Formats: sequence, structure tokens, C-alpha cells
Amino acid sequence: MFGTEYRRYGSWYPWQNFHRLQNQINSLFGNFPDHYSGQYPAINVWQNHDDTIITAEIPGVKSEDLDIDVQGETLTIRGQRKIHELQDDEKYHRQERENSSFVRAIQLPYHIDVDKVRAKLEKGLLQLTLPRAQSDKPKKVKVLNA
Amino acid sequence: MANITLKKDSQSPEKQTQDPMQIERTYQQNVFAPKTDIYEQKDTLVLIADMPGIDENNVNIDIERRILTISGNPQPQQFKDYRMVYNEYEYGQFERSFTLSDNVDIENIKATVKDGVLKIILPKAKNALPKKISVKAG
Repeated sequence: MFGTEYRRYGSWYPWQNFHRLQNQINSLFGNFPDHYSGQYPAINVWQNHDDTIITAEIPGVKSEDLDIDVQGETLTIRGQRKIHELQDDEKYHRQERENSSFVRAIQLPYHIDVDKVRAKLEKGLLQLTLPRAQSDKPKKVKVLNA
Repeated sequence: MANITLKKDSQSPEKQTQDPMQIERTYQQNVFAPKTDIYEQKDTLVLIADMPGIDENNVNIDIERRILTISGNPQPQQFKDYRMVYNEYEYGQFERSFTLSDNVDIENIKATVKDGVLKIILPKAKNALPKKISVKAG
């Protein structure tokens, strides 16, 4: 899913101008980076040889309202955020934040070692470390001198 | 508690109160306007802003000529020996300004931050609170 493949094609990538136009149109509606899928929460993904780190911004979500499932290659983040409930004598001057309940499933390119998954929620930032299952790691093949 | 600075006597030109995304800037970083709720209670106004990544050490609240500016500068997330492979959201600062009405008691503003959400309590000035005037039979 982490398709950055088109960058390989450099400047003559035929859809480049189309992407640029699409980004400009998108920027009229908000400032989303190129690949934003429109799903909540937005995620960033880092990888090294063995692990994947996924981060998401979920301000105002408490850890008890967050549910993270890992099965096989798929990570599912479920959660909800509650905003202030207005009392009778209160009124909004401006309301931009929302009550939301969200589900987002993310498929990784490998099996996840379920027992070693770590999750951290701090300052409204979620950080998940998802190690690759040992059984899924590539095997080194030794080349012998004939 | 977040820091609150009051600058009442400053001679600087009035700050613009538009959406920061619309203001020309010379910053190198992205600047985002945090999503904000403002609701009014009987004797306070409450402002709540989503600013993921901030805590009490990197958020600022300035009040200058009745313009309340909230800003925050979260640390961008970086992981050593990892390569970013997919990117849906960008890092940057938060900044947004609001014009306060005259009936806010700016001396007694209080702010807290929790779970990446900034909450500012703006008490109404005493003379702005509704007064009951009893009418006596003449």
C-alpha cells in the first residue's frame, strides 16, 4: 500500500501534472498532503528492516477510548472522541471540532509479531511499533564457493 | 498550566486575526490553524483547540490589544534508523488569533493542556455579567 513507486519515473512520469492539478484542487478544500486518503485518523508510516512505526494525530482521544487490534498483516485502530456536551445555559460561538468514532484498518506488507506490538498515546499522538514476525523474515542464503 | 503573556501597552500594529493559512509568512515551517471550539457559559467563555503534540512547555498564549493568539510548536516526530515510507499529515507549528470582546476579564484567563488539546477559560468581566434589577412597587 505504501505506493511511492511513481517517484522512480522521475520527471517524465506522465501523471505528474495531473497529480499537481489534483493537489491544487485539494488544497482549496484544506491542506492535505499528496497521498492523504481522506480517512481519519491520518497516518504517517516509517519502516526499517524489521519494524514499522505508524503514527497518528488523535487529539482529545483517551487511551480507554482507543482499541487497537492486530491480526496477521492487518492493524485496526478503533476509537472515539467525545467533545464537551452543552448544558442548557451554554451555547456555541464556534464549533469546528467534532464528536467522532473512527475505524481505520491498515495492511502491512508482512505478518506482524502480535506479542511485540507496542502502542503509546501521548499528547494526542498515537505511536505504534509493529515488528515483523520472525517467520516472515527473509532467510539468508549463503553462496558457497564451488 | 500554559504560559500566558499579557502585553497591554505595546505599540506594535494590530495583529491580523485571519486564518493563519491566509497570511503571508516568512517562516520556513508549515503553520496550521488548530480546529477550535468556543462556547459560552454563564460567566465564562471556553476555548478548546486541537493541537496534537503540544504540552505545557511548548504552547503560548499571548494577549495583545484584546487579540488572543494561541501558538504551539510541537517537536516533529522522527525515528532514528527509520525511513518515512508513507505520509498523510505534515508537521508544523500551530497558530491562530481571536479577537476578544470587551467583556472578557483578561487578567484572569486560565489555560490547561491535556491529550494534545488546549483549553482556555476566559472569565467574563464582572460588569459584563447580567445584573438583576429588581423593580419595586412605587
